[in-house]
Amino acid sequence: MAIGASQRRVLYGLNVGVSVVLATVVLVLAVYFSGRFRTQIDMTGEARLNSLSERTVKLVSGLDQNVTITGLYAVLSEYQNFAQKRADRVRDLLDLYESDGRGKVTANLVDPMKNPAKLNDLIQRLSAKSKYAEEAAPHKAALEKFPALNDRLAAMVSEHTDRFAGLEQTNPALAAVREYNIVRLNFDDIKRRAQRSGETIKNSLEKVEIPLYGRSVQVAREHLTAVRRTLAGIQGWFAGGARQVPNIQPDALAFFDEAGSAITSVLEEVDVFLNETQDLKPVKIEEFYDKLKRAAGDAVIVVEAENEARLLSLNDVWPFRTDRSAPPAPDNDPRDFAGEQAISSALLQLTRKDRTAVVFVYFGGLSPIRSIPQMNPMMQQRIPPAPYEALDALLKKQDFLTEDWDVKTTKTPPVVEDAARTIYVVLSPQPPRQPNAMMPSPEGRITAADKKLVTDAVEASGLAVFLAGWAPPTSPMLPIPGTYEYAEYLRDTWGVDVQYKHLALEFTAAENPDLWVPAGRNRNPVYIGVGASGPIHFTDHEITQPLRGLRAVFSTVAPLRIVEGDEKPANVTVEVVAAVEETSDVWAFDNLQLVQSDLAQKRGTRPREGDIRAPFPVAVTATDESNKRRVAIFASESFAADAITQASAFEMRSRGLVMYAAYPANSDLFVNTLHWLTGDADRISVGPRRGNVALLDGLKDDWKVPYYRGIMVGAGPLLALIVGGVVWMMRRR
Amino acid sequence: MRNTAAIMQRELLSLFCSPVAYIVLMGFLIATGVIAWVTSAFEPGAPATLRTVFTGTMFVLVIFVPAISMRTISEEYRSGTFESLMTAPVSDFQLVLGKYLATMVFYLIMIAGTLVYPIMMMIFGSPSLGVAFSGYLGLIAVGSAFMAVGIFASSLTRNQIVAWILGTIPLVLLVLFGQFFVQFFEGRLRSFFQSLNIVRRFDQFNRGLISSEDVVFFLGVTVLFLFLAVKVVESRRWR
Repeated sequence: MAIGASQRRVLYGLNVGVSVVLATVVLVLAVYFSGRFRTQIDMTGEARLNSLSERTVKLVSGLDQNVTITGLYAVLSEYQNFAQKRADRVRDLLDLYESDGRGKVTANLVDPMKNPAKLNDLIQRLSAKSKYAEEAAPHKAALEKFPALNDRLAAMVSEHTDRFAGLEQTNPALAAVREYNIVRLNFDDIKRRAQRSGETIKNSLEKVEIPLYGRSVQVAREHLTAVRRTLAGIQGWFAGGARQVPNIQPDALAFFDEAGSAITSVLEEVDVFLNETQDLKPVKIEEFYDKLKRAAGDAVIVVEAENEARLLSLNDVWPFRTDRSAPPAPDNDPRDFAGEQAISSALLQLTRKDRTAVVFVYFGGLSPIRSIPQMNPMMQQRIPPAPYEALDALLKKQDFLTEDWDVKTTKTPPVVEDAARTIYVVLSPQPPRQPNAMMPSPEGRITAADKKLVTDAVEASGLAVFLAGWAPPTSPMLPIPGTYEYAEYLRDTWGVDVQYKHLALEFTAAENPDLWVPAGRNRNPVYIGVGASGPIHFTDHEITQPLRGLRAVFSTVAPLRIVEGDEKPANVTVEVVAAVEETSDVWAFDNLQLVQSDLAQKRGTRPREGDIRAPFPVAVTATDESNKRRVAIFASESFAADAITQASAFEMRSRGLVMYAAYPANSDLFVNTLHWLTGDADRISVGPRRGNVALLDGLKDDWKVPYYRGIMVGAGPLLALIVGGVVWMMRRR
Repeated sequence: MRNTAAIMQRELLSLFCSPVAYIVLMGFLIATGVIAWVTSAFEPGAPATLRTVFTGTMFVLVIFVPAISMRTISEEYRSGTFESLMTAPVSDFQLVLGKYLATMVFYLIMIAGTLVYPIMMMIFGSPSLGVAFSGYLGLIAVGSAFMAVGIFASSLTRNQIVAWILGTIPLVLLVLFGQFFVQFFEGRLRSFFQSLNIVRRFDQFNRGLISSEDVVFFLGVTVLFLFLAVKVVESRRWR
């Protein structure tokens, strides 16, 4: 059947239309599937600036709720040091999160100086989140009573102030009384304060982006507390001292009575207000508000989940460099980029449903994580701070719930609310520090029953960190070794023998031939360093992979021995986390007196029979495959103590004196161990990234620069012009 | 293949014999040079990276690439050589592919003119060659997609200026509006707009990340618009 021209056009047109639609569909599908099964090549080499770690990719691609990440980075001017570089790095990182989030992550970088409206939108969005929306309700309710109370206070003060002039006419002696004049001044002051506080609160509630109820309550409380104190003093004078004024008239006495009762009435209301508001906590969203408003000149990242948010400060995202051995950044930036670590940690905190309790177990003495407040500042001997107080703060920041358990006084393990699991950090039963001389010394050794309490708790939870180490001799004069009370348990149950009688030291050649002296690391011979700075090395364990290259130190180390053969407990796998490498410079000895005597007499010592020579492990993990229990054992009791983790050192650099963390890996090692125990390898720190940007440092700021620029701008076009001209000339011929 | 090569050769010859090509080349290099100057990419102590230059270059390409491609097919319509091409033993696909390859060769020569920047940077610093390579790959990918759009536009009209406008407008929309719309959406809709966001896709290359998704996107756009151009050329036979 023949078809006409118009029919043919329709037919062909339809054919083209269908094939175009099909081609478009194929393109969309190709892009979609290439996104789903994406492969990428990061051309930044080892720096891998364009790649998120596998853990982060897993985390963001498995998110069960929408997350918004907003970087607030202001670049005030091109001369602001590092600001542009930092903003660019954060923008790229956020882009990676959005790419890998597959629709679950929305990421933006906002310059709050250039775009204040977006900052305000963010503040409004945060205040609407369920966690913060109801937080200020009690503050709001309390504040509703404040204006009436403040008005009443102002009215009472005004009314009585107006009567002072008349009172002085009938009682001229009053004007010469100092207390009376102070009362007058105070009444004036209270009136002014009432007005000022009222205005401040009104402004805080009405003239800012979000009503600052918490701040307003604070202002009201400060105002009323001050007023209360003043009025109570005035009331006392009216009732006592005022009546002693010579030639005081009855009208003045009546005034004092009446004013006193008016003050009493107001103070009752003030007390009610102060009582009602005394337990109100600061409102979280207002903390955010302060920090975000400050971010106009600073830099923060806000990570929002559906119900709550976290704010990451410049220090969280750009911590100061801790690796002293690394070459300085080409642009001399003193900070490293830890954006991925900070954001992923915040995401985990926001999206994680169950939390982990960390219970520090000790026997007698003071809490290892909570300091006793110094009650009497006049006390000559200060109570030392708790040895793990900073670590405790770090753990809380990492979303752990922390608690302590004194086995000596409490015979049941603490129950931590909201905790899905508990990790016991078992300190040596020796009190971790000797208490203040004013406090009674802890007495008695841990009993078998108490030890069983601890091991039963560990068995029940299946997760523990044992901080073992060298046990010092019980007597400084006699070679009677100390004991590590959990040694037997660790050997029999976990296959790890803590050789606590031996103290490992690093030695160096002495002046006398064939003799060694302790190698003082930072003048402290009991510190043995990790990595390039010392003979201990981290293995390829999941805990230590991100910590390689960072400095750490173990103090008062006792060697560990992994039990083999028939003694080895069934189903237990022991992995080494850190070990002293094979070296003739490290050995562990059990007779301190002998070594001391050698050093004093011969100015050097040498290893003896019975000493334990390197290599040996100093940190291990053990997993019971049958019931998935895990423990970590460290042969240094104090490796995570604040005295080591918070130690800092100084170094002279070209731009001046630089302070850095002396042992940056110590606290990370502890925290990573906790994450490993809970099976949260995802949370193990990925460590900051350096990713230094190469600079045009060969280009000097001199007269040649404009010429170079001229070459860049002019050389290409000039060449094109010449070639074009030649072609044109040739064609004309 | 031989036919495609012949078309390509003919197109290249006509391109390089025309002053327009040199004007475009000169204009492009001046524009990128000015970008390098105003973005302070070549300041003492500045980062040894071409990122800001390449980002600006991508916007410049929106104007220059349709200028290269505007004459490819529309000139054949206008000069009346299209009919003889239709009768020649050359398929529509070979015609379009030959023209595309010729313009891409010219485009490659054009961006080769910017190699002076990394060379200068290598003299005065140590830029990451991997990142520079990735940036150039991005420029080629973007240029390829833009060129296909330009050839499609050229196939729609016999007027070169109209072809340039028809090529530039969708590119401007794609480049600017993709980024513009993204900021108003979250979740899946944002993902959708992000997938159309050419600036973002190019930026991935520009910072040293070669992703299969971006490569497929630019290749796909190239193939789609060349396919559309073939269909338009083909339609001349039955319209």
